[in-house]
Amino acid sequence: MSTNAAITVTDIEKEFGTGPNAARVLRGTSLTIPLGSITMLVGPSGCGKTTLLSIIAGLFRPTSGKVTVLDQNMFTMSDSQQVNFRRKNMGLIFQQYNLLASLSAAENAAVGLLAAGLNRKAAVKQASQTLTALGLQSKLDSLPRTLSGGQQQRVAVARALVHEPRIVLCDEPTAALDSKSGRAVMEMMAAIAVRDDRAVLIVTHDSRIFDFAQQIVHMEDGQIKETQDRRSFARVV
Amino acid sequence: MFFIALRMLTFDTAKYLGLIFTVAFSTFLISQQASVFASLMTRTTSQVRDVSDASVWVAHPEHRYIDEIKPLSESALSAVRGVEGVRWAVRLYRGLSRAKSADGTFRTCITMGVDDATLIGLPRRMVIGEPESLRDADAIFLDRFGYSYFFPGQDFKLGAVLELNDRGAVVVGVIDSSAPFVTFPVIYTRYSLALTYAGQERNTLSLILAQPEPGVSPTELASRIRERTGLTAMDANAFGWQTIWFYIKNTGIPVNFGVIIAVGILVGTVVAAQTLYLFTLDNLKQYAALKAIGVKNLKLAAMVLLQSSVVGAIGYGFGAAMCVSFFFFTKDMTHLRGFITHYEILGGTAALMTLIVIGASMLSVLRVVRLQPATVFR
Repeated sequence: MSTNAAITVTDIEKEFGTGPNAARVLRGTSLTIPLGSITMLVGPSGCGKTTLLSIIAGLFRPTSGKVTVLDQNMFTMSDSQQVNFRRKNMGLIFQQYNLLASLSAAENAAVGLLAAGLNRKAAVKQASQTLTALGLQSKLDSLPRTLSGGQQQRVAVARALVHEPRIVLCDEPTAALDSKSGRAVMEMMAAIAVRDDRAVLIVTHDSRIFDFAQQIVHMEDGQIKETQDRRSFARVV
Repeated sequence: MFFIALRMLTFDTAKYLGLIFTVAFSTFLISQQASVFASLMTRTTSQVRDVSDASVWVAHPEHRYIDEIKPLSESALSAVRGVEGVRWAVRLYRGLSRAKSADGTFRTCITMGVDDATLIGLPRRMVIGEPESLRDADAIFLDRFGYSYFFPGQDFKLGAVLELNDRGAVVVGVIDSSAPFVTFPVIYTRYSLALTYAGQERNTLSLILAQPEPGVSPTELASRIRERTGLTAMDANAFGWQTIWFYIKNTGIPVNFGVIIAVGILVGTVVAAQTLYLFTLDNLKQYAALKAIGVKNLKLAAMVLLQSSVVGAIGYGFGAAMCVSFFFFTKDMTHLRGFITHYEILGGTAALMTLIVIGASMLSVLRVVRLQPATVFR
C-alpha cells in the first residue's frame, strides 16, 4: 500500500560486536521521512546518525527492526535486489566527496549510470548535463584535484542526482565547505532534488543550513529525542 | 566500468610502474635461469645432437653418459651389424686430445673420429670447407669457436696447422658444431686418424652409430641390439637424455638452478601479492564509494582481476623481452654460446606468472568483496 512516507524506520536496534564488548548504537529508533521534503538528522557525535543513515541506505543490516523505503522493506530483499534498488532509487553524498581521483568531473558524475549499465558516452553526456545545471560546465574534463572543495562537492551532488533518484541521503555534505559554498550546494540540492515524489535526508552538524529543512530530527544516545517541523524551528533559526 | 579500473591502475605512474617491474623482474629471473639450466643440459648432449645421420647409438653395457666413454671391442661392431633390421652400423670415436698451435697456444680438445669410408657422424653445418676434404692426409675439421681459440682475430681459412699428439693436423674445414658442456674446442677427423691423436688403449671403439632398415623404428632396433648383444643401445633422443639425466642426478647443477628459480617464484608471488594488495588498499575508499553507489561485488572483483591481468601481461612482456634480449646480446660470447631462450620455458613462465598474478590478486579481491561500503560515511 502506497503512503506519503518516503522512508519509515521502525524500532531499529543496532549492535556492533558481541558479548561484553558489544556496543549498542541504535536503541529502538523510529522515524518517518515524508516525501517532498528535506529532513535533517542532527545530534552530537557518536549518537548513531551515520549508522542510521547507513542502515536506511542498506549498507548496514540492523540487529532488529524494520526499514521501509518507497514502500519496500529494505531487509527482506536479497543483497543483489538491495544493490539494484539502491542504484535505481537512491543517491548518496559523502562528507569527503569520495570522487575517483583518476576520473574527470563528468566521468565521476557518470559513475552511477555506468554502474547501471549505461554506455560510457551516453552516461558522460547525461552527467555533463547535470554538472552544467550545477554550474560546472567549464569543469567537465577537470580532475578532482584541480577543483575547489565546493566544486568537488558539486560533482558529488551531480553523481548522486544524475540518475534522478527519489531518495537522496547525505552525510555532512557541507562540513568541509565554507559558508558560501555550503549554502550554494544546499540551494542546488533544494532546487533539483526536492519534488513531491522525492525526499532528502541529510545528516549534519551545520546549523548554517538548517533553514533548508522541512523537518529536523534530533538524535541522542541512539534514540530520536525530538522531531521539529519547519514552523517550530523557524523561530529558532 | 572497466575503463575506470584501468584509469585507477594507471593514474599513479610510479605505483603502476612498480607493479609492472615486480612482475617483469620475476618473469626475467624465472625464465632466464630456467633457460640457462635447459641450455646447460642441452650442451651436455651437443655431440649426440650434431650427428644427424644415425638414429641409434650403441655403447658399452656400463655406459652412463657421453663424457665417460668405456671403449668397446672391435667385435661389438660385427655383432651389431649382425642384428636383424640394421641397415648399417659404423664406428665413432670420442675422446680428448691435446692440441697446440704454431704460436704455442695449447688446448685440450674433444676429438671425434668418424667412419673413414662413409664419414657418417659429421655435423652438417660447415662454415668453410667441404666434407670430402676430410679424406685428405692429416685432415681435421675444427669448430668455429675452437678456431677462434687457436687463431684469435684471424678470419677462417683452410690450411691452418695444429699439432696433435706430436702429429701435424691440417684444418681443412671449419664446422658450426653445437656448444659442448665444457668449452673445449671440438675436432672432427677420420676414425683411423683420431686413434693416432689419442693415447693408445687396447680397445678404441668408443661408440657405434647404426641406422635401421626401412620399416624398423630406431626404438625397436635399439631393443633388438640390446637383446642380441648385451650392449647399451638407444635411439638418439634417449641417448642424449641419458647424459642429461646423469648430470641432473649426479651434479649440484639442478639444485642450484632450482633454488634460484624457486626464489624467483617465491619473491614474484610474495612481492606481486604485496604490491597488488597495497595498491588495492590505497584505493579502498574508492572501491567503497563504488560499492555504495551500486557496483556489485562481481564487477568489483572483475575490475581488480583486470588490473592484475594488465599488470601481469605487461610485466610478463617486459620480463620475457629482457630474457630474450639477454640471450640475444650474449649469443656471440664464447663461454655463453649455446645458451638460448627456450620458448617452451617462456610459455611455462607465462602460465606460472598467470597463476602468480591470479593468486596474488585473490587477496585484493577478497578485501574488496568483504569491504563494508558503509566506510564511505566515516
